[in-house]
Amino acid sequence: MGQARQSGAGILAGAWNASLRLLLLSLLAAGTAVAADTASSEDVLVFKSMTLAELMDVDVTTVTRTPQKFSDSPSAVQVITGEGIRRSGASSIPEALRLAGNLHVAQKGSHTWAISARGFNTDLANKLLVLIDGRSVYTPLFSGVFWDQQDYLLEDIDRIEVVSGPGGTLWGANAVNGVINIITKSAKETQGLYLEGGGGSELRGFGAIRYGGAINSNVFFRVYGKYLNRDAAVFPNGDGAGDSWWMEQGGFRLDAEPSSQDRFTLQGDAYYNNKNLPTGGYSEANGNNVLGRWTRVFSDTSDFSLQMYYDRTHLRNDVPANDFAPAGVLREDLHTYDLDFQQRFYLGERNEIVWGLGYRFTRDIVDDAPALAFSRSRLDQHLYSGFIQDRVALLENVWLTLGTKIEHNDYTGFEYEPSGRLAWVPKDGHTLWGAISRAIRAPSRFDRDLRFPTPGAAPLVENLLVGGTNFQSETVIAYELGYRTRLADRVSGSISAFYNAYDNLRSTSSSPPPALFGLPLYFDNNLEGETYGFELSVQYQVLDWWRVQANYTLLKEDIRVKSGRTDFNNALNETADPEHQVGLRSSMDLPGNIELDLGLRWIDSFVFNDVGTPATVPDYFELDARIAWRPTRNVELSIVGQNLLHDHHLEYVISSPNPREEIERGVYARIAVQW
Amino acid sequence: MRFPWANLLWLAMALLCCPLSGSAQSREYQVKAAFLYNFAQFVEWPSNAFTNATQPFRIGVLGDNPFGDALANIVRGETIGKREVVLQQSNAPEDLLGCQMVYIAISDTNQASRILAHFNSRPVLTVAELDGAGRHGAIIRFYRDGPRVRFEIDPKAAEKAGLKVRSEMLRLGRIVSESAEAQQ
Repeated sequence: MGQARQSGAGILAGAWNASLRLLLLSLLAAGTAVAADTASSEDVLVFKSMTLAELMDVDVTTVTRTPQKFSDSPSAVQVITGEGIRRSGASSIPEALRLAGNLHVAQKGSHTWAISARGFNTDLANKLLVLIDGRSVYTPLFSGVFWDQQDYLLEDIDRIEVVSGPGGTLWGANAVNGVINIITKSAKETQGLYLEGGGGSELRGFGAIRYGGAINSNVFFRVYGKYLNRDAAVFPNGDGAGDSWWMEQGGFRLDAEPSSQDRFTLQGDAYYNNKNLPTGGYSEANGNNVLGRWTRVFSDTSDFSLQMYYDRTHLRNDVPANDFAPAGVLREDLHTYDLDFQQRFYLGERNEIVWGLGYRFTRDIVDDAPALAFSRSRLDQHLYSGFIQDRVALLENVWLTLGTKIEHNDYTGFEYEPSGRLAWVPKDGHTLWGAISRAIRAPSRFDRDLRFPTPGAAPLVENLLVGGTNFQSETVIAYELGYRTRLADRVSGSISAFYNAYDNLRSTSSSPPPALFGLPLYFDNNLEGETYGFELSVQYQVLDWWRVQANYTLLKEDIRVKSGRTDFNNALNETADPEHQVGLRSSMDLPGNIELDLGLRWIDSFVFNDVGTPATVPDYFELDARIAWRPTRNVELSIVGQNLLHDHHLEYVISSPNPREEIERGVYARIAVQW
Repeated sequence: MRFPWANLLWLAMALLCCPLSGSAQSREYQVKAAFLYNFAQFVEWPSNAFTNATQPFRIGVLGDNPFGDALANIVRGETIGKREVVLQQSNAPEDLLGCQMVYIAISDTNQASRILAHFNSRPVLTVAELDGAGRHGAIIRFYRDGPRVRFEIDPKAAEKAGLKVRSEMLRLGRIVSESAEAQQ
């Protein structure tokens, strides 16, 4: 019996992993983090201590929740600038995220990615919050991100703020291990015509066009469209994996400043992509969104903003047959309506209060495949939230920030996410900070509603794996300590250490007797554990024309089954994370308007759960390079090489029986023209 | 799709909260004051900009001072190229000819060419607002990009004034050229 169950379990786990995989095949899964923490001092002396580049990033109208100065922000934030993206040769948002040393970015296949901060970079990475211009893009289906659906004209991205560590107090559920905040340029900054195009060995062909104009002196707009076509990844033997794909996207943004107090933004995007799957069949996704935001600034110390958006995504995925279910098609339609208000003001001289209210309505409609189904085909959910935060100037150079978010979701009711942060600026250019915060990951449909396979498809037992009807939120209490410094204008650095204590992490349990063979398995909260480590980042402007950057990240994880409980996966399923990561970048401005950029990374080996047994992804070095020439101010020609050190290499694994895919060396040429 | 408009009531309540005092402008000018101080670190003045080695570095504000105390607070106790920094304010360009940097706070565009003629070919870093007076001819012009302050810079005009601008600063600013504008 025990033996039979074990082998049955193996098959089941394989099937489960297979079905997961299928769901994920189309995904660029990942998670990440975000954003900005508290505002910093408005003292003019702070501005004085800033570099020109930093000054250019100061929001002089003080939008709340936007950091005023990163070097003062008491959180582990790294910023990827638009310029940094351009110079890296990145051709997608996941590639650009490799620039953040506090993320683990792994490409699984041609259109699938695993991205996370501070661990838990599993197939269904689910502990990051990702926002594009304030619009949340993680899916309530499994609390992760379909990275293939998140794109933009990279030229028009202003910056990407990557915060590792919890951001729940401001941002709410899912900002457990981090927040990624992708911020596009205002329409005023993208005036004129922009064209780009090119192609190469992996990035087969791409083109984009943007036009920005002014309706009058206060109202600016832009419209853009882009297309790209990517070659398939390969199997370990070098044969094509058959997962080539293409996508197209277009959108607009309108920015108006009818008065010195008011700013209005209206923006929207629509996309379609079509991806071949390594298991045969295809996956397609389309979607559109529209967002409006009104910000009113009463004064230096008082403002509010009101934001609403609607977002629709449609997913269609071929799900192949397995031992328990025939082939089929999974379809999902998700509609999200979101309303967000926040206000900032001073109470007396020392207390800066930020508070806000939010409401989100989602309607998720799933059309099941036999191998991947959900208990309710249609699910409407309401999420209510409020937060308040007080930033107190305790001393002239010491600030304490206390706050909490309170949310109500339909699965677990009320949730709270408090935090306390202390920042000390002993002298200009030096910030020491510490924080204690609690964050949660609320259940997703996957955790609660999963049905595998569809009822009736399996013999003897109705389902083999189901969502846990009592699955609760996963929680973390995070302790952080960090230091940022700017030594002269040329050197800056930061180190952020963390110790995270997790509870109620997802596990897979057997059903108690009288259930046959312990089936179905179901999701439970039987894991707990700790992670700790640190992120180190240094930037050095060696010469006027040469800049180097270095990153190192250490991550230790101890995730285990709680005493007296069980986990079918022996606590292996939550982690797939390298212990060490090293990144080095060099950016040179050479004579004759030539730019030369090199990016080297070393990712340590890591262990992933392959059907209940540990398997290893070996460590690897990879190198990206870009050389660009500007013959005139308006034209840029560049050649980009990606993953140059190997014909193909493994970054991540999708567990068996699905094929392993490796990422090939890629080279592409690009021309960009701007008027 | 139903949308719970009733929740808009929250907003109505929220909007009742009143703003506190303060000026929406001053933060912008605090930042601009910091920009001015920074510019001085990235520009080299020719030796003829100063009459002797101990002469202070003068920053002039032409017109009503929009910075409040911000500029004074920033330069207090600071030196630029080992020179003490002195602020000067005047409504007459003639008074500011001895400055190394002049911020033109006059918005009357009719006066623009007259004002700038005073500084023409002198080693003075002129800074103006893109939508203010002196947009033609000032070496540096501030402009707003949404919530942020940006600047454009005219390297040819700087060269004419005998000023050397470091490449780091040129990279950060939007490069414009007087002659190109004239052609338009």
